[in-house]
Amino acid sequence: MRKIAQIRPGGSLVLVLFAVYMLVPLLATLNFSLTLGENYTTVAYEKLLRNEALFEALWHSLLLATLTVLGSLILTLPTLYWVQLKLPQAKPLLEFFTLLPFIVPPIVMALGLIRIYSSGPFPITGTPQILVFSYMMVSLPFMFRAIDNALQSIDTHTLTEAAQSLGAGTFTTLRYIIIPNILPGIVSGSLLVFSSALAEFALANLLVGSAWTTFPVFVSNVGRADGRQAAALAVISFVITWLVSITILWSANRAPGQNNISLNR
Amino acid sequence: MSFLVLNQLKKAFGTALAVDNFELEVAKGELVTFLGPSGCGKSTTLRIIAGFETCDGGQIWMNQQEITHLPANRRKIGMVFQSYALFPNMTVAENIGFGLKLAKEKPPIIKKRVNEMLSLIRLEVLAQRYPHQISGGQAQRVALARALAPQPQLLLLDEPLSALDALIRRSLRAEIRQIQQQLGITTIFVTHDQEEALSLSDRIVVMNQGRIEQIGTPFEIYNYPTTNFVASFIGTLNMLPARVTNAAKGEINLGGHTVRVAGPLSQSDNTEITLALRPENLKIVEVEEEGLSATENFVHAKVKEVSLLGAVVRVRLSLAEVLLELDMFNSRHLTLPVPGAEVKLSFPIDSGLILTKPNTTIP
Repeated sequence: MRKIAQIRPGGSLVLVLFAVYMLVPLLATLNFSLTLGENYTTVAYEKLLRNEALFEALWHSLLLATLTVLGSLILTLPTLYWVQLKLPQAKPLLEFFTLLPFIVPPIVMALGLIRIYSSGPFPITGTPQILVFSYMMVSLPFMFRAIDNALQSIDTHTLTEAAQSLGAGTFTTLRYIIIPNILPGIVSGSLLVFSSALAEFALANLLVGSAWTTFPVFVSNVGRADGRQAAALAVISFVITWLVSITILWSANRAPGQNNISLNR
Repeated sequence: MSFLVLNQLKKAFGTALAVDNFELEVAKGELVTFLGPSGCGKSTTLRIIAGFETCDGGQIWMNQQEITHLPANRRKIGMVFQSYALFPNMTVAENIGFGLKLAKEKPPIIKKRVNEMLSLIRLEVLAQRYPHQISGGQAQRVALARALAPQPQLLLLDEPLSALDALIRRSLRAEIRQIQQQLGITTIFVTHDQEEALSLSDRIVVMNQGRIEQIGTPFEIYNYPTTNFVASFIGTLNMLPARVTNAAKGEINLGGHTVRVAGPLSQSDNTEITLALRPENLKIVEVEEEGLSATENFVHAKVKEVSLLGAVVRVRLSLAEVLLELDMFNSRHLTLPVPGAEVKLSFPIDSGLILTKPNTTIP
């Protein structure tokens, strides 16, 4: 059985204060969404659940997030694998690119994308496709770091050479050896990308707006009309985010060494 | 044509020449070891054979087919790595069967072959374990079985025992040799450990700074080194300063003693040389006379220190201010020399090696 670390009284106080700081706004939001005057009621939730636009917006966001994850994986995984094996000198350049989404403000990014994709061979401004590509850019740091860390935690070079010596080509090696061994990293990266795409508002509002409403845009629209429904939507968002976070924590806390070779026996 | 032919292989990393004009022919079923210090090019040469590195010049022929530019995954070569490189996501059985699965063998054939390999390495009970659940020695045996399962033409081992402790290394080394001989598979073994090389190999290739110093059987390499590097790298050598006194008769002055070495010397009289003697060629003797005899040289020395190393007793002596070591077998009836005692030493005339500059050929 794992030994639980003993927490000092001072540490306990810090944890309690932290919990209060995090939970009080959430509980206040939940309380607000359930109260009408002095009574508790679920009418805000009932109105939402009868609103087909909610489900359409949620479906749009889920679809967008899924496509963003798939696109990020297809772009990042083979690239990082190749760089790890053959072009390690390109790594600093890749890391620079992954920092760009943090440097460029969303509104600047949106205006740049509108300008480029409103004409030319790919006129996708105002369509959901532009959101997929822009979300892939914005979430690139998360997928990059998760997969890069996972690739570095296994002996990618030697495992690849071992697979090659047995007759495996690049695709076979990726499929049977590399991907299974970096699965926790892929899952972590995917969930981070999924949750950030699910919650992204600025680009969705600027690039497509009401033409193809996403969940965060829907929340914003509802919030202008009905505060309680907006609070209810915030609680729903928290629940989805918590579920995603718990899944990330579970995948990140798998027993160490389960998928790693140890030389010290 | 030999089974494996390496013809003038050359490889440089930037301006550093890692492999220079490497030429070797290996017969079918032979075990050849590449031996040398770190950075000598032995692993690079092995990786070129495996296809993991390209060569800048030269050719590789295997079974009369040129494979110089063939991708690694098409060379049908089995490889065992220093870090075992077992696939963590697969069981022992799945690891061993992976090469056969890639070759699209039928499942019953794969199962039969995997069982044969498990039986060969005597690890049948571990078939369903994962790599993190077995020991280092077991992992290396699984790695060997995995490399052998697809019946490769050539087996390459890149310092496979370096990560293991001494006891396991010794037992596994014998096991590798026994399996190699049983299967008759042509094998190249890379190591920096002389004992491994001398005990395992049919032939040894001693390398230094990317070049071959000598190729020979373990007996030849140890007893008849042809370059100063091989002489000083293999085993222990006493390096004793001496001076040629009569080159035609092979006589030299060693610490005030006149001794003989084999054959007339190529160096001229009064040349300063180094006489190299293996510790096991020196003996402490009881003789009445010093000087020259038909087969042995005799000199006077003083015992400085006696160390018991188990089966061997190592005696440090001084011969005219020069320190040398003598090894003798331990036994119950042995009378140990006493530190400070004056003793007489003998060594065979033909046991001395004349060394001049490093990396030059021994005459």
